[in-house]
Amino acid sequence: MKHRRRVVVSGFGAISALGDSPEALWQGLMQCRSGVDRLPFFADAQLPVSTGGAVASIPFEQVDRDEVIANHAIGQALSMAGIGPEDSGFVWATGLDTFQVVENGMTYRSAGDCFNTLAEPFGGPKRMIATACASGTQAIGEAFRLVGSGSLESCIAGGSSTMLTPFYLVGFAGLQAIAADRDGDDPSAACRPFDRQRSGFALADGAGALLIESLDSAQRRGAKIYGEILGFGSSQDAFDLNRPPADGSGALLCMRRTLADAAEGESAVDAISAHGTATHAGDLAEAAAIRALLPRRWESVPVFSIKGAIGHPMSAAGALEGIVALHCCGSGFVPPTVNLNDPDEGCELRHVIGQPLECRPATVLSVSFGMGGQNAGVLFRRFAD
Amino acid sequence: MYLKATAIYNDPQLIRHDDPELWRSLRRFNLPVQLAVAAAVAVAEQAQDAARAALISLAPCRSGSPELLNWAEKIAGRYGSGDAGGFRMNPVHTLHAVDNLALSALSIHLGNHAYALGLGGAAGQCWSALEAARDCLADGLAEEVIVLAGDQEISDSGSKGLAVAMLLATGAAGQPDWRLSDIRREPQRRRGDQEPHAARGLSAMIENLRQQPAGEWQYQISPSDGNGIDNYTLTWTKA
Repeated sequence: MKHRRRVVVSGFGAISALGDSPEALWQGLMQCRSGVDRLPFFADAQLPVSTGGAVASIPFEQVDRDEVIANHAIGQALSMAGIGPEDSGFVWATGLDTFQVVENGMTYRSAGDCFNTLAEPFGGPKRMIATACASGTQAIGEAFRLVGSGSLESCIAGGSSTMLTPFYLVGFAGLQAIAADRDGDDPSAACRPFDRQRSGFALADGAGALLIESLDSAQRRGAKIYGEILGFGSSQDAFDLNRPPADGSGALLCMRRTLADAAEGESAVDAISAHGTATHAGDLAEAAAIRALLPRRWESVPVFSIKGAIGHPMSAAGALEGIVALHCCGSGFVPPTVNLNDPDEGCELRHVIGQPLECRPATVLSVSFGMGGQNAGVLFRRFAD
Repeated sequence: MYLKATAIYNDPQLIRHDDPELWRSLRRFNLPVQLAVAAAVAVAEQAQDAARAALISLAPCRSGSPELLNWAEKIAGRYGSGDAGGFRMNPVHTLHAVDNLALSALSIHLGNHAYALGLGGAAGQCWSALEAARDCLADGLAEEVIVLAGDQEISDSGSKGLAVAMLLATGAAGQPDWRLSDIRREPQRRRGDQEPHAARGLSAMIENLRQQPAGEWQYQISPSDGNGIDNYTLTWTKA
């Protein structure tokens, strides 16, 4: 590994099913609240799935909803950091092309066009990350590398998703990845990571943006620093297009590479923000990987997933999870996994259930595992000069 | 960064004819993915260790899947009439929407667990892929990088596809000995001139490269192959 500058986070923005700010996201998690709900127009159309984590403040019928949601988070991050886009890079995931609901039916929206519209004000490198559910975490990692290597001083990283559409609800239902409606179900409990009753994720919209900056630059500007990024790792399962290996070997390799990149051992992991999508095979593989990563400490290192609360916003997920990881390092608390009541056999970990846990983590390992087998991890640390 | 091998594919029938086993593993995918993976497999044969090479894929700027388009139209119709119940989409066709499909299929084929980067279907991302390959090699993440890209003019079963794969490496290459010594990016701000296509820009560059004599050559990316935000100039040197 080449010499690397220290890299910090000096701003972030979030919009999700729990509200339109990072604070709303964090408070919702700390209150063990779910923003996932029944979406009446999908129920009216008799879709097989009618629950989701919608961004309530931006109407579904708004044609440029994809850009508005993304720009909301990006604008918050830039404003919080007090930095303009012209000198920054842009490493972002806009997810997949969508067929968005409009007044008279559905209209095609290109994720690529959305990306270039968002990227236009930025002066630095522009990379559209496309590694499925790992995209948001990989975007943070790629930006970390660009800033750490000295290629640029600051970079917006993250992702946005507006895939909560009839097309993807039907498509992912066909893949048996999302929790289908069942009579009498509480829609807010559709997504139950690691739980015995889990049946898949709830699709969601949202965006998360982090302003990633060199420590030198942040200190020179007198910027407030919200946390440090220590390492980034990625791997590929090379196993199957639609399921991970049961032993979680691809995820484990990614986590080990993340720690190696940070020049840290497994003892440096104080808490883990899990991918935790509530798919049957995915949660089992992830739990196996975490136990293998922490063979002597897996019963004591807190693990949580935020997808029970906000659903799965695909390419935005890793970025929102990164923001939550920073909050954990800053506050001393980790949030509970909403809707996890009865951990499944094979999912044994030190889960955070029912209420926040005060464990004062100095570091949080945040991981994402994409459909198709691309995995990404980032190690965050509380900032200390 | 040296260019060790290239492959340009535009006919899936050649894959079926030349490598039936590979074709069997690819035939369920959409055309851009079939072509991109086949091209990548061809350049991987020139790699010192394809299982350890970093992989950088470019998603199609268009889905390239008539099946997917057909599903979207069906769902739109049923949704509009409030009758989407019991609708089941073929899971294979859902995968056609996934923009890291070629990357995943290639990693499985090569048994490759190395660093990988999927770049999305935005105009001009192919030049970001070259920047990312350069950074990857400079950071020591791998000694070789395979870049692969496939696309299609429109999502229609009669539309032709095009795919490009490049094997890039830190060490001196075989023949021809091409080195990409500089990638310069400057503001352009002329959005609207681009014709988004994941592979066409790289294909044009390779065709031009093949015709160049020894020495240094600067390649200016045409506005139609760019992202409409930046102007790219690549400096190649042939030994």
